[in-house]
Amino acid sequence: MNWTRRDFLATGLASTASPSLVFEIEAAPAKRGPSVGTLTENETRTLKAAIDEIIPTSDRMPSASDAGGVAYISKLVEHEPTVSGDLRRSLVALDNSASEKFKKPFDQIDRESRIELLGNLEKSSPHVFAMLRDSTYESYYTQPRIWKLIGYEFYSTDHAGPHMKPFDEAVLTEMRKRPKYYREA
Amino acid sequence: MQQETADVLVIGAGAGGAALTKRLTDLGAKVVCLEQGGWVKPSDYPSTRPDWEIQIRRGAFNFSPNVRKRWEDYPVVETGTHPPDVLMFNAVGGSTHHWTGHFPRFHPSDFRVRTLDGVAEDWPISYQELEPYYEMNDCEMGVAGITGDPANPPRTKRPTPPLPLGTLGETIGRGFDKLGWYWWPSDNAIISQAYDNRPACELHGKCMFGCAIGSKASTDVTYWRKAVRKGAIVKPWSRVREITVDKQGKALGAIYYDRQGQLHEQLGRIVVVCGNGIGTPRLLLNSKSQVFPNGLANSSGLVGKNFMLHPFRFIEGVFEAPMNAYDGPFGIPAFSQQFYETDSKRNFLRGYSFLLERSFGPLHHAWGGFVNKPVPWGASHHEVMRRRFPHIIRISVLGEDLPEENNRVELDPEVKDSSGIPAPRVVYGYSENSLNMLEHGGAMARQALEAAGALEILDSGVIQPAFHLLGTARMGTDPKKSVVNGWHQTHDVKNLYLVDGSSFATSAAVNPTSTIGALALRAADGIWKNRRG
Repeated sequence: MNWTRRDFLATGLASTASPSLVFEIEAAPAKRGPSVGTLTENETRTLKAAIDEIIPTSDRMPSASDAGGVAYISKLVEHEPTVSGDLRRSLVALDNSASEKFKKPFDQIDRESRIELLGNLEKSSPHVFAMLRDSTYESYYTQPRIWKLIGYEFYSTDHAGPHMKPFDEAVLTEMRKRPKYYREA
Repeated sequence: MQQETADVLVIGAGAGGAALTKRLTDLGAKVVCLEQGGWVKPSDYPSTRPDWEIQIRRGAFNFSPNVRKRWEDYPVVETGTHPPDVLMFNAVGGSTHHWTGHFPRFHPSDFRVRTLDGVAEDWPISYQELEPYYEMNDCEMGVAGITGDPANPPRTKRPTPPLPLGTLGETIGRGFDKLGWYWWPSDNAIISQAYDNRPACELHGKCMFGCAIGSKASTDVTYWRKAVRKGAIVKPWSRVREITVDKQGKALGAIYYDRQGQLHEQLGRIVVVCGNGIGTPRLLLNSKSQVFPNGLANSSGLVGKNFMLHPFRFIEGVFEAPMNAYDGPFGIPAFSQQFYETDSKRNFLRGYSFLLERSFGPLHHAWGGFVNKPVPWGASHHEVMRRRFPHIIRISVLGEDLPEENNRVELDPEVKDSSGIPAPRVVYGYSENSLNMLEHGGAMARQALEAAGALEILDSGVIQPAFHLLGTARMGTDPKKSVVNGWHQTHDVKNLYLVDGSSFATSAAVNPTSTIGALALRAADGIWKNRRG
């Protein structure tokens, strides 16, 4: 018999094996690490203000926080030690520079000043800034409702894939006329 | 605990170990394979999850063992003038869980580089000798493609018809035609029709992190399924510490750890190492003994030397029309070998392939795509994102790397894996030849994209080397200049064979998996024929 996608997903590989074998089917999915600390209220306010400058609202697109960015990134900080350090450093740096230059927390300065401070952080600490920017992008472009707005179809592998035009041999008309093009040895 | 002696003990269940075991089992051998990883359940691939793209940066299916840090992974120390970002996957099926499925063959000239171009070393075998095994491997893995490519020797009708080219394939094809350059729909080890009890590709994409429906050929669903039915024994979660030898220098078997940290010994009349171009030299260098104080099979001093990676450069063209590069299998719909063979008018020897590759989804594009040019933040973000996604066609320039002794794999004096086994340290730098080749390839790729109608070009420049682990126990006729002979038998230990990318004498300018499989099938025939010798 020919296997269908459904058969394959339903059985994994176990049914193809000799019953005498022990198949240790173990995919070791990504493990969530223990909490490495939650954002403070101040940090959360700074985060919201910062990510809404990184991905602002446009005529038809929501801002990063409107798309759930604050909750998403807060979870990253809590559970992903590889990103949490730089993320927190970015928030602290933004808040400190706002206090220093404008005597106010980052979320209370005007938009122009926020953009200026984000730009300064990008220049002075590119790696730290990149973590904030890329985490914002991650929070945004992993959301199915954003996919709808940008026309991206996900095609999960437990559902049917896209329709694509079948291969058309006519595209090779020119190439079929060409002489051999490799060296004999 | 010592276990029953196998006819052939295979270490490593990836592309080479799988093909070799299946063929040997068909011939009647009793094969036991030790694999440090486990079986991967297809439904655990990240392709059903909305955050599937984060695996590019982190997670259990990330391409780098240094990022994944699963139990079965070992750390790889990366150094040199161009420190590589080593990619591999440890599981039954090995790195075939994590590959495009692109299935090109070497050219005949790739086996005669010294004779034709005066560089590196000739292989002790020819394309003609390997050709029947390429055919056999194509049938076992399941290939989609079409015959007639004028830039390659003829081959038999492909097991399944070509996959869809997609808008991007047809667009770039027109660009190549306009320039008069050769191109062809690539062979892919991804079946376009049901084949060999596997379902046809449903064009979901995302299969760089594993194909959840078994249409892309990872060797756990191709060779291993059949080999196990025929009696081959795979022992997953078995991390080999060393190969043991007797006083005469004959290989006895392997000592390995299980996941509980218990030591076992598996004996084999013949031992075959299939651990990839880093894992294999690491194991040989870790198998020191009184008979072999410099590491096993290392009388030439070449174990770990001549490490080759394919030099890469990515060029992306931004088009007005949507290209939907995320639709269809990640495997390469088309390729061009216009600049494959040596041309004395250029400032480099040998050549390169253009791979027209599909891509990931919106997150990857926002992060910067393959060219590492992130979509800007702030007021212009949405506009630039709309312009780029999904409007990009990528051409990858894959160049031939030439062997150099200074590029090498050795043991790190300090870093160890979680079982306490010394980790490999990789030292690598691009040669001037490679850099000149990538410069030329970048300019030509730009030309092709512009001919196809690209409005804007994004260029990665020379990227951190990463792909394909080759050459560290190379094949040759002279025991002073090579580690194994033309049948993958080590010059020093007659019942020890090395069958994976490590035995490549040169790298060619194509992805190596098809050649690793063909070589493994041929090696199996040689091993079985000569077993009494």
